[in-house]
Amino acid sequence: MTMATSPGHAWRTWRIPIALALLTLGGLLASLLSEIAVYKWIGSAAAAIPVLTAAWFACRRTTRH
Amino acid sequence: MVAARKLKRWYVIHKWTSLVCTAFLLLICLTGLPLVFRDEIDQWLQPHHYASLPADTPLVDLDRIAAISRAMYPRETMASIFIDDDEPQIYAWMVPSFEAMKANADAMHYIRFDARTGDILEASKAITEQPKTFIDIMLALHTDLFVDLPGELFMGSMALLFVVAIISGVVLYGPFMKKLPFGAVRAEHGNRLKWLDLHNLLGIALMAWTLVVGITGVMNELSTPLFALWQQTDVKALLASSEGKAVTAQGTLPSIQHALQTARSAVPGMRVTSVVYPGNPYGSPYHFLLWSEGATTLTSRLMTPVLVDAHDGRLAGVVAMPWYLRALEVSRPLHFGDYGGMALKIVWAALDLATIAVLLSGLYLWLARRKTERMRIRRILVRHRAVQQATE
Repeated sequence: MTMATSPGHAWRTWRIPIALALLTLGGLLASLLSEIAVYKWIGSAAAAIPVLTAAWFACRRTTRH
Repeated sequence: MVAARKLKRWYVIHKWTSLVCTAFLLLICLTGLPLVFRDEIDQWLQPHHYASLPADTPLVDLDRIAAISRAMYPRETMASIFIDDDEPQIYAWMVPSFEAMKANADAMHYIRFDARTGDILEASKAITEQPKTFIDIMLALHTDLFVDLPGELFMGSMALLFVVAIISGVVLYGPFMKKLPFGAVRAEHGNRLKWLDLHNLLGIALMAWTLVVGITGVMNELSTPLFALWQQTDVKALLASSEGKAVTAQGTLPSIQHALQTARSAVPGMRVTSVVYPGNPYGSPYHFLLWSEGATTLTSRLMTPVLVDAHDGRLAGVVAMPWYLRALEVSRPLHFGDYGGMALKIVWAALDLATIAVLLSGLYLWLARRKTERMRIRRILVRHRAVQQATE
C-alpha cells in the first residue's frame, strides 16, 4: 500500500465520493433551509442518492476491477 | 517508507477507535431507527383525538388554564405551561413545590387541555409514577443509558470516537482504492475481500451523512453542560440586577395571558411555545420566562427567551442566546432528520440501516483478520515442529 500521488489518480479515486458527499450535504441543507415542499422532496431525494448508489454497486451481479 | 508508516498509523487509529465504539454505535443505530419515527409511533400507541373546529379558532386564555389547574390541585404549584405547535393541546405542568422539583425534576405531572376549548383531555400522574413508554426506553438507551449526565458524556465520547473512525477510514480509503474503480466488489476472491470492498463502498458513500450525524450527536450529548454553562454565566449576569427583590408569591402573580401578549409584542413574527413560572429552577425567581421560536423550518429550532417581570407584568428583556447554544439548536434537526417530512425520515432510516451494515462488516473484517492471523501462526508452528522432528 502506498499513497496515491498523481493528481489524475487522486481525482479518479475521489470524484464519485466527493460528488456523493456534496449531494448528501446539499440535500440535507436544501430540506432544512427551504420552506417549499417540492424543494424539501428534492433535498430528501438528493440525500438518498448515496445510499442508493452504494446499494446498486453492492448488488451488481458482475464486478469490474 | 514514510507514507507506509503514516498509513499504518491511520490504520491503527481506525481499528481501535472503531472497535471501542462499535457495540455502542450498534445500540445507537438500532435505537435511533424507531426514534426517527417517534411521532408516528407515539400517535399509533397513544392516539390523541380532538374536537373538530375551524383551523383559525383562537387559543384559549392561559389565565383560564392556570385557574383550572390550580383549582384541580390547590396545594400544588404551577411550574410551566407548554403550547404545542404540532397538535391543538396545552400542557399545564405542576409540582408539589419548587423545592421538591429541585430535589427531583420528575416529581412534575401535567394536565393536558384542548388548546381551543380549554377542555381537560388528560391528567397525568407524576413522571416517577408513570410507566416508561417504548419511545422513552429507546431514547434513554440512545442518549444516556438510564444514568443521566454520566451516560450522556459517555455516549458523547463514543460518538466522538465514531467521528475519528470515519475520518481515519476516509484517509485509508484512497490508498486502498488506488487500483480499483469506485464500487468494485471482488466477490469471487473470498468472503473477506468481498466484505472489505462492501465496507469501503458503504463507508465512503455514507461518509457525509455519518459525519453530520456523528458530530451533531456529540453536540447533543453536551447539551446539559452547555445549558448549565449558560445559566452560570449569561443568565446569572442578567438576573444580577434583580437580586434582592422580593419573590412574588404564585397567588399574586400578574396575568399570565398578559405576559404572553407582552412577549409576543417583544418578538414579532415568532411563536411563544412555553411559559416558565417565576421560581421554577429552570427559570428566573423574578420573571416569567417565555420561550419563543421562529416560523420557518430552521428558525423554529432557534429558541429566543423573553423575560417578563413577575411584579408588574412589564417586559424585562429579550435574551440573546450564546453561539454555542445556537450551534446546539442547529445541530438538533441535522441529527434527528425530522425537518423534511416522511420522505426524509425514510431516507434517514435507510442511511441508519446502511450504517449498521458498515459497523457489522467492520466487525466481521476484524474477526476474520484475527482468524487468518491465528491460522498463519498455527501453520508456522506446525512447520517449525516438523523441522525440529526432522533434525532430531
